[in-house]
Amino acid sequence: MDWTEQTNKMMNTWLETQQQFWQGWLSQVQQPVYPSPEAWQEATGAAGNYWVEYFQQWQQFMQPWQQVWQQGMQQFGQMNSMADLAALSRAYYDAFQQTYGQWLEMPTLGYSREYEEKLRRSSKLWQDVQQANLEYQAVMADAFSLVFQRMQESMMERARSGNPVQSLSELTTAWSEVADPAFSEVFYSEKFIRAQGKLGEAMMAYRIQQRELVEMFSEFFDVPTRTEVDAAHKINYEQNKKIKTLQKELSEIQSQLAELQETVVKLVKPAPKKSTGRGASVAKSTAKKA
Amino acid sequence: MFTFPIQFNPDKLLQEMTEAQQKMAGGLRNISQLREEDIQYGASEKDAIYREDKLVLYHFKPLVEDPFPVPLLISYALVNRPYMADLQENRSLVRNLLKLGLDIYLIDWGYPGREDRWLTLDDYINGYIDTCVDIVREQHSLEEINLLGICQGGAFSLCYTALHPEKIKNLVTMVTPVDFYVEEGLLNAWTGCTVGSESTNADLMVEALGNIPGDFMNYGYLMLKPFQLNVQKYMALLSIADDPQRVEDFLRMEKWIFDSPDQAGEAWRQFVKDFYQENKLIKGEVELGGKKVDLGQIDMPVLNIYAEKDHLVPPRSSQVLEEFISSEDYTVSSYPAGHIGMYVSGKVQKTLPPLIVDWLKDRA
Repeated sequence: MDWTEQTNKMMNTWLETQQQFWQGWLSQVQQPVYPSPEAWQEATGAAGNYWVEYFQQWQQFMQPWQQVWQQGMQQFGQMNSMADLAALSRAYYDAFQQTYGQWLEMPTLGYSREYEEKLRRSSKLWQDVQQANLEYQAVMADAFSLVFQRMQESMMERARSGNPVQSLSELTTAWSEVADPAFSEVFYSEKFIRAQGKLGEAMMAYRIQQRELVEMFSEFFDVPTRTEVDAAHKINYEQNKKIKTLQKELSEIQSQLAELQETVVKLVKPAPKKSTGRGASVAKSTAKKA
Repeated sequence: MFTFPIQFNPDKLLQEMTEAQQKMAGGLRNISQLREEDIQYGASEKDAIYREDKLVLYHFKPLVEDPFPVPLLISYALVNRPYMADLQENRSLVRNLLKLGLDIYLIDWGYPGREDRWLTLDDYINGYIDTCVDIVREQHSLEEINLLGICQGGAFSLCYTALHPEKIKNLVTMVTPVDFYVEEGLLNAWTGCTVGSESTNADLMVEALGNIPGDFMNYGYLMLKPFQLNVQKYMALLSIADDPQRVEDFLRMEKWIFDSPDQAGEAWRQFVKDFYQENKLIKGEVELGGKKVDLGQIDMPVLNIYAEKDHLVPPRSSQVLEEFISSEDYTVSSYPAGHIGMYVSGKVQKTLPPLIVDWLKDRA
């Protein structure tokens, strides 16, 4: 039996002992002080069962942690990549979600419930960021691992062809030939793109939540909030846009009006009283045409 | 035969170390004498002729007595600063175009602040670009002008031209993404061409951050080629460290790379979702100001230029433009350079500006 199993066994034994102890204590307490009112017996008897239930719940609560603890101990010596670490971290995260994580999502009560809810949500989103970051780092580690693998292959090829690296500049060139293509290979993969996207989402969600918390205090201290300033900017922007549109329309109307005025002036321009030559008769005939 | 793969030659190693130390000593001398204000950019004289919110419309001073009568308006991307097009005297697309006789205007989008978070693509395209086009048309008393769009600015130019074809005489697009589902581009994959919003949750990001920080964008760009951009580049600096001019050039480029404006939240959200995640540009489904952008409306001459080694906008993403426009005068040209090399490579700058100018003059 390895020591992780021993630990589990010890933990179970401890819980069972605790149950037995509390049950024994309750029966002791019930016996001498309250000899026999039936209802009281029932009530305290039920209370005894509550303790049993409580320990069962506690056992259930501890179970995910026991499992992940066991898994961690088994894997610890065999871990050889960031992906393994990320997988283990995911297991811890799941255990957390099944236990404390549920508490963070439970509705709260009382005067400070709104504030508490924001704090707890913030805490949960922070964990999401940590988890997403670990998963992103795991894929990044894959990328670095591929770069080193490609460099090894390149060196093997040089060794085979009798073309060893002889200077630092050659070594840099060798790195540059393999590094970015290998990074690209990973960076193009859906796995990387999704991990990067997930990290971005987690960070943004956390930032929004942080802002909500900050704004609670800002409002309390009469400081304008980001949301209020954004709303003011939006109104300003919309009004500006309306003004610009109206200015453009006005300018078009003004130019149309100017054209119209020009036409009207031409139309109403009186014909010269005396005809003094050829030019005048042309003007007259133009006016007629118009 | 099987030899050990690393066999440092002691003489070679010693020589390398000595050279590196000399370069480092020289480099330290150079860098310690430089100050941030020495890292200047902008090779060509220009006047700000219009300002609106953060936007500035610049007019470059022509370098020839009688410039080409149809002016060229340059629309750059939102994600970096437009001075890349006029970085320094010997690395300036704008200067080379001016020397060849073009009259050039440039839109500088500025640095969006938090108050610009609500700006949409409609504001950028039907608002800012349209106003700039009208101003240039008015200045030259022309119905139509030439438009040059670079990178994301190229995608904006396509949208603008499709919506206002009557105002554009010739359209030039440079390293412009058109098909965002081309998987060769890691940027496309990370932004959502494969798994959609699971790669980049644009809604959540804008809700959390308001504007998207320039530093976030830069981190993404650096991770596209981590070794080259975080290690190799700085090792290369060592080899030029004793040359003050090259160090200054390096630092100027370094400044441009990290001088990234934040992205106005709503515009960024729409660009990521509609262009990258749903590829709506080529489907004719992008909607701006209540109107659908139909690339088929682009019927004027189009010159499409792309970089063959572009890791941000893969060649195939630009090449497909021809399939979606109705222009019968379509020219495509490519250069063996990367995305940034298009503006700063000496070889490209020898042939690219004459190509653009000749093409425009032939279509005057």
